[in-house]
Amino acid sequence: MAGSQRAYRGRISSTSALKKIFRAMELIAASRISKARDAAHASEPYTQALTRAVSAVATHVGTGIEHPLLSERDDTDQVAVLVLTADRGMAGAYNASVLREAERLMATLAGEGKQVELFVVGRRGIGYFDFRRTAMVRTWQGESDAPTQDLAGELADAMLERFTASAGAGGVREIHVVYTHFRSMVSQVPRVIRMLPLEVVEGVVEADQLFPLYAFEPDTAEVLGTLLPRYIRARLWDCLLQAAASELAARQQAMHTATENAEELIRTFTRLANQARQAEITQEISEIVSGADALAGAGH
Amino acid sequence: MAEGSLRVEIVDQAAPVWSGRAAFVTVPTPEGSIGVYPRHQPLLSVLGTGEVRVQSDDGAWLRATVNGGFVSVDSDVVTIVTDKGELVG
Repeated sequence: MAGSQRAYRGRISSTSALKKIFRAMELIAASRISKARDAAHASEPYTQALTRAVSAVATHVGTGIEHPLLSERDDTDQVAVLVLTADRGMAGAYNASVLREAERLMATLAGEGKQVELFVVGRRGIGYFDFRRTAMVRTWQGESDAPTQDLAGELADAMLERFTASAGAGGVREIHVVYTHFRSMVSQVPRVIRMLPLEVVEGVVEADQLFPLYAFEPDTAEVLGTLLPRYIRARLWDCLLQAAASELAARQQAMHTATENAEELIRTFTRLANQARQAEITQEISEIVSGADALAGAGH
Repeated sequence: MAEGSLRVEIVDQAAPVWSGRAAFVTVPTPEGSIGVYPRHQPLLSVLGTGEVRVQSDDGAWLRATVNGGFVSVDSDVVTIVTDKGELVG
């Protein structure tokens, strides 16, 4: 009996230690979300200006627009898929749902007779594909919850290099990105976008907005050549920030639930421990009483 | 918009660098530099590496280094979008 009491006490103390960890992780995630949001907010003017300029060029030049990053290519069946996952778990279904989305996309692409080349960000995704012996072309890890501009630059360079390479040199015809869209603190949805070739009509600019007749310096091609790589980079940066914010929000939520569950467990174990203690006391009393009874009976 | 006034915005990948009113702006391009007065024709140009100089309405100069990007001029709004921008002084 004393043994079960001790066991309950032990479980209570280990659960409250865990609870403290969950609580701390919840708070850390919460504080980092605001950082990710600030970063997204700070780069907004840049992205907006870029998007506006790209739309302006697109509407100005019309459908006759020609640039390697805009044209469909059919000289190769290779396509690249970039998957953004987290470096750590403990974020509920965050990694699982983005990986499921990636698997679905890869199955669709394979069904179309395309060969998928995988690029993965985040230790969780790397581990997942490693375990399934799926070859990855290139991976990045270590900053999934606090991405840097450098990472966005590296990703953009890698993607552009692949897309502009010739068919023999590892060129790809399409680039897809799987990431998690941050809809709100309680809702994050995995999303697939086709990054390249670019679809110029982005729907970001209102239909009634008319662009003036721009003069291009030095010429249209040159301006497009400057704009498009930056545009890709800005979009990747946006994806990274969205993924980071989603990861942190998912983690905060998961850790919040974990904290609550720990509290619930502690309550249950406290009750059980009290019950065990009471049972022990009751037993002791009945032992004493029956002992006294037996002695009294023997005395006669 | 008041006659003789440009609205200038300098933004960098990470954050906005500067924005405000100006009377005259010069921006570096790969082939030299472009000066923009109010009522300039709409323009979209590649940006070089160098210094953006902004003269405010009271004649004071503000300088910022820029490193690649582009500049757009549209109805007296000058947007300078650069990879890395920094105010000088």
